[in-house]
Amino acid sequence: MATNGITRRGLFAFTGAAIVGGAGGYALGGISANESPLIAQPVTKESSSTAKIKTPFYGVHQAGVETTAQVYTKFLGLNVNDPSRDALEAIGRILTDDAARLTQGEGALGDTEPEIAANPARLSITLGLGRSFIKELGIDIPTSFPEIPAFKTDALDAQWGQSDLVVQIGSDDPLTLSHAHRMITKDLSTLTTTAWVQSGFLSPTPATAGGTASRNQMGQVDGTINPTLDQYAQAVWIDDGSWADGGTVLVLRRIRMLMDDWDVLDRSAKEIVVGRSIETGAPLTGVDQSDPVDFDALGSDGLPVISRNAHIRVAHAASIEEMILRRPYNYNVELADGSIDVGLLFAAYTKNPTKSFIPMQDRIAQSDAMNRWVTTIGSAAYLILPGVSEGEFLGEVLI
Amino acid sequence: MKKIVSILSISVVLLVGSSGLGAANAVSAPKPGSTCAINPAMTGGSVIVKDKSYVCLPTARWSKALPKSSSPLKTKDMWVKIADSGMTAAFGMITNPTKKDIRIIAARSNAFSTLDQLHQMTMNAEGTMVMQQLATGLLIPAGKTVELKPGGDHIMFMNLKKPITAGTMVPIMLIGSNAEQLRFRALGKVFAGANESYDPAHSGMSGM
Repeated sequence: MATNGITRRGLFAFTGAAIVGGAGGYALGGISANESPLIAQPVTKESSSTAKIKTPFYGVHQAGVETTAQVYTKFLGLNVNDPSRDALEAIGRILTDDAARLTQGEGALGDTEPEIAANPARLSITLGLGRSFIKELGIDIPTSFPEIPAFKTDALDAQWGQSDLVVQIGSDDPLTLSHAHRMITKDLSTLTTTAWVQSGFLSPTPATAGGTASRNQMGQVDGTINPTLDQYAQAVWIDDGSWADGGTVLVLRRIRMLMDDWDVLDRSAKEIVVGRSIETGAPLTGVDQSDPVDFDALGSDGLPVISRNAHIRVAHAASIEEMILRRPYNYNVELADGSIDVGLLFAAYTKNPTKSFIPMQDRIAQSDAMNRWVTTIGSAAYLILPGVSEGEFLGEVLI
Repeated sequence: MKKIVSILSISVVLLVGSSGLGAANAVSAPKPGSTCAINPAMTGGSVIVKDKSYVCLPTARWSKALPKSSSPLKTKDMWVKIADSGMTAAFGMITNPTKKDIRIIAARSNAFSTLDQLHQMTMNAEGTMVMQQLATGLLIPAGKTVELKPGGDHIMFMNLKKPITAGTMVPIMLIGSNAEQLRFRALGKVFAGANESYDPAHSGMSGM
């Protein structure tokens, strides 16, 4: 069982100890026995790079959260040039108008390339506000939107830090996505300044035949336990009685994968770290990906089959309220020296991070074995505004 | 339903504000039949005094006092190119759901412009597209939709009083030949195009 020094006994010994070289916030929780390693996945197979499928824009909640993850995404971190409610209204009116049209396959007003908009490919455009921006406008922060603390394993680069706003764009068609990105950036150019753009992608093909999971760049099958639609009210949508009701909290973490180090591990060692088979995604206590994890199972050596510090044990959520909606994407950035920086854009959506994301991330920062192979280099949190009806604009509730 | 006006017969609605007519801040009603055009660019204006509308007719004479009424025209997708000063233009779709042609003869946006006009784009002798004021207004044929778009028909804002910024909802009123009013708001948007040359030779206006 000893492979490159990784054994179940060895992981056990990490418990409560400082993680050597650890700097990862590897926020991948789940509930029950089916935590996924990295990528939450398409629950349906509606994705198609060519289908002119429209995702509704209007509704109680904004699209882009319960929407099955599109193949491509961009998160735009924007700072407001002159923060005020007037600025928020102008931004809300423009973004709402653009989103209502582009997501339905129509050009935006003044769109010079409306033909590109004709295939929305499940395009969604979602707006969120940062905590300090809300404060700056003199608006009360909902109790559901606490400050996300620093975690001891974080190695944050300000380049990927908190911004006033986030605009999340997703589509199965990268050309559509590019057009929406440019249109929005152009339309908001007098009101906002772009702090960062984080682009992500998924495989359009399930990792296993008939399955719904994707593989991440570490090769792990992403089986994912996410809240089911009937659990969103308990796990995802805010209902604290504030103006934010119907919204949710997005925690966006940029998690670099230390692939050169991961390459050193043998396959069995990787599986011990995660607690799952690389090939099938099944827990080490089961056969199929969907098998529940038996956290109590002991091996012939008397040690837990799922190690104390295995990712799936640490990230496990014990109740629906502790769950987060995981909607992560892969990123791959070519660096100037020819090397590549790969990792995850880990997007977690939760009703209240105090009950879900923060305790889970604390556990991960304390003892997740994965911390040696991942490093969280960016972190920001946003209140995803409630959805709107036709005639309203995003953020109108604050004006 | 959607009818696109051909590029060579582009008309432009000049929004004519009251002050642009020389009747700015007028407290008294213009005398019906009196001359209303200081120069050709001024044709197509209107003033409202004590709930009565007075329209500067294509004959450059003031109309009689007309009761305020609302226009049956419908607008959709209205937007304005943002600008700090000078001129800019509004675009969108205007639909006439009735069985009679309707002529828009004036446009106003008093909060932003002292002189708004209906413009058309035409090819000048040098082969350049230039815009000219539409002296006879903009015809919206029965049952048709006219699209106002960059490079085509547009509602021209002259002499901006204050900047039109992105995300602003700009109030505009179009006035029909029977003084019927069509009020709507247009969204201010960043737009790099719509920089048409203005041809003062054909309109009596100074260049843009």
